[in-house]
Amino acid sequence: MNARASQLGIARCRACGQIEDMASVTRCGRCGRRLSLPDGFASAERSLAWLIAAIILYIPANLLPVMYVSGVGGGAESTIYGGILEFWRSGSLGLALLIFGASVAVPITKFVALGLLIAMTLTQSSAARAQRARLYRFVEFIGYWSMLDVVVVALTCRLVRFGSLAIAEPRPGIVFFCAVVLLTMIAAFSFDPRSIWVTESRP
Amino acid sequence: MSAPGALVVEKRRWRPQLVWVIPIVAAFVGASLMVQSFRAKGPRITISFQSAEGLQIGKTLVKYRSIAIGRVSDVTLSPGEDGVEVTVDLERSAANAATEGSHFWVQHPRLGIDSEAHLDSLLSGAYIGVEMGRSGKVTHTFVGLEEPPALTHGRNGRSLTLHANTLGSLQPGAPLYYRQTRVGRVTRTGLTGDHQGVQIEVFIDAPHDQLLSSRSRFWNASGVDLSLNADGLQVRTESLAAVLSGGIAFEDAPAELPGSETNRDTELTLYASRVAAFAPAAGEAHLVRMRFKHALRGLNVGAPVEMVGVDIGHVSAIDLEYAPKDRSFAVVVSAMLYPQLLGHAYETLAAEGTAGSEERMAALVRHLVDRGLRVQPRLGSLLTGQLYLAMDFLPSQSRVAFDESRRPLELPTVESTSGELQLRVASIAQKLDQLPLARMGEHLDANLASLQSLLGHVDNDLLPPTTRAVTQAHATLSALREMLSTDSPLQSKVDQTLEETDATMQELRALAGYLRRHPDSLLRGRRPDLSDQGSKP
Repeated sequence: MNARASQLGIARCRACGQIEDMASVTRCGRCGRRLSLPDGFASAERSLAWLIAAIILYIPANLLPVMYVSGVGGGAESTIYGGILEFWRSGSLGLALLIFGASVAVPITKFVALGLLIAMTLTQSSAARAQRARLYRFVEFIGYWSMLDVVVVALTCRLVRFGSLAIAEPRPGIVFFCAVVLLTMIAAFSFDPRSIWVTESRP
Repeated sequence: MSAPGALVVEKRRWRPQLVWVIPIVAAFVGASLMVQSFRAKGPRITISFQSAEGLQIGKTLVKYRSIAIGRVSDVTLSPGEDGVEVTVDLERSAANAATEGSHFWVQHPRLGIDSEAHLDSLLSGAYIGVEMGRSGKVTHTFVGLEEPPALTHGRNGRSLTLHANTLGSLQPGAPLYYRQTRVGRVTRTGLTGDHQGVQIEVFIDAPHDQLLSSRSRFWNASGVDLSLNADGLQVRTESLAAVLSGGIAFEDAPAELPGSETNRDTELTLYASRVAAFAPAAGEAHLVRMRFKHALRGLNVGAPVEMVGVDIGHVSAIDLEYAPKDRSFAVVVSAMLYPQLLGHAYETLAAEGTAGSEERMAALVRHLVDRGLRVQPRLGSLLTGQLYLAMDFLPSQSRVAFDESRRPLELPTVESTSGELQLRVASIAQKLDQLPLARMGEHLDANLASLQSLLGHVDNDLLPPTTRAVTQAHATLSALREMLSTDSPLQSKVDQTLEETDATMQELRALAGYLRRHPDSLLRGRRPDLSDQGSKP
């Protein structure tokens, strides 16, 4: 049975690739970055905590209005889901799909993917490890796009200020949405992809 | 082999990491938000309307005192397909709206020039107005009002019902004026129960309801009150808004107006005009009839009947009558008289007991007729040529027969003043006719002829000698002038004579001087040595 580096207390610096012995140092001797062993359970657990927080906050983010638009003829608050429906009904299919992708598809994909990764890590499943690694890279990739909604609202509220003619104001929902995006990013970051490869089975 | 064992022990002594605080906080925040939004959510009610015109799901607001207290969440066709059912989510703070007795109506933008035009809804679209019920009994199903109520939000004031014959241009929301100040509005209009008139409900806002008194008179201030009658042209308006949208005005009748206290709070009359409102109470009407032998052009139904200058009635009918006996036509004028309009005179008469019943009335009229009371058509306005009937005492009239028992009473008449005028003009024309114009012309002609012959005499006999005399005088004068001119022989001779006379006089003077110095010479004669003295020898 081959010994793993982690079992020998040897860690590789995630920044510069220096190999250090964790028994003697806690920081990389070359770049000074804190070293850590791939602590499978702990990172998955941390990631799970962040993920659960994100999922909880995703509920008010969708139920609460994210933006208030007042124009000539009164104003209306709109939730993300309501906004998507409105765009869809008014014929702006592209815009509706874009917002749907950024605010519904991406977060839910992240939740599912991260949940799957964490669950398989915690159960120490050895199945499809290579695919899971690819899945993790995919989660990292789509993470960038989750902030699209927040940026849209921020820009709209900043730009649409025409006095009594038209005013757009943010509503609490967007804060929660922003929190969801941040929490999922933290969850993804907390997850150590090396833990995919950790197995309890000892030689 | 210590590593696996250690791992197993670690696993059993699993302690949660600090990071688990994050989902707990998130759950707490989320849960509190959910609870809060659930608590903020008021009751969901259903209102049925005839039509959902202007209502938008998720947009249309429910407003109470201009504050949004809910939002339309759904509009569906009612099960019987005879209307729509509007589902409204009320806010928690406005849960009172879901009580029995609440009224809901769709407030559409209304164009008008009165202050309650709801121009805000012109921009924001229709909204659902609400008037909170006070019963305290919770219900979630309502039948909406099709027309917005004229009165909302429990205003303080007083509601009155006015009665009128016709509605005119009044409509709910029309203003109510007191001295041209807006103090209230019409809240409801409709036919009376017996369909014989209209009743108009008005509401007077709180401080102004104190203005109401037992002497208040209401009149229709709609439009421009333009009247052309025997009094001339009259124009009167209350305000521009009233001109366009109609309105009611009220004021106190002056205290001295007879019958001004007869108004009751329950049966208020809406008069057609300000004039009618302040007209004294007419009292009992008496129908009288008058017979005129001559044409009454310019007398219309409704023309006033005046007694000693006081308006006491009006012409109600004008008819033509043919008497077969003497084959003549007569104009029969019926008039309604209101003796009470005579004011204090009537009161005095009533106190005497001569007014009141029909018989007493007839007796009184007989007495007045005996004293010379006659009805005479008179010209009310030169501009319009309208006639009115004047009852006046004309003592010079001969007595006429008056039938006391006849109903309706027939009043004796005299010809109109305009007829008299015509007669007078006619008599002048007649006198002009009677002038001996032809004879006067002949005389004048003869006089002129004699004058002409006289002038002929003058021409023939007098003028020629005169001419001759004048010619002679002229010749004499010219001869005289010739004689006196400087180069005439007479003149030169005179000059010569005068010169000679002058020389003679000089010599005489020299002689006189010599003689003074030598007086002796008169005796001795002249001495030669003294010849230089220049004297005559």
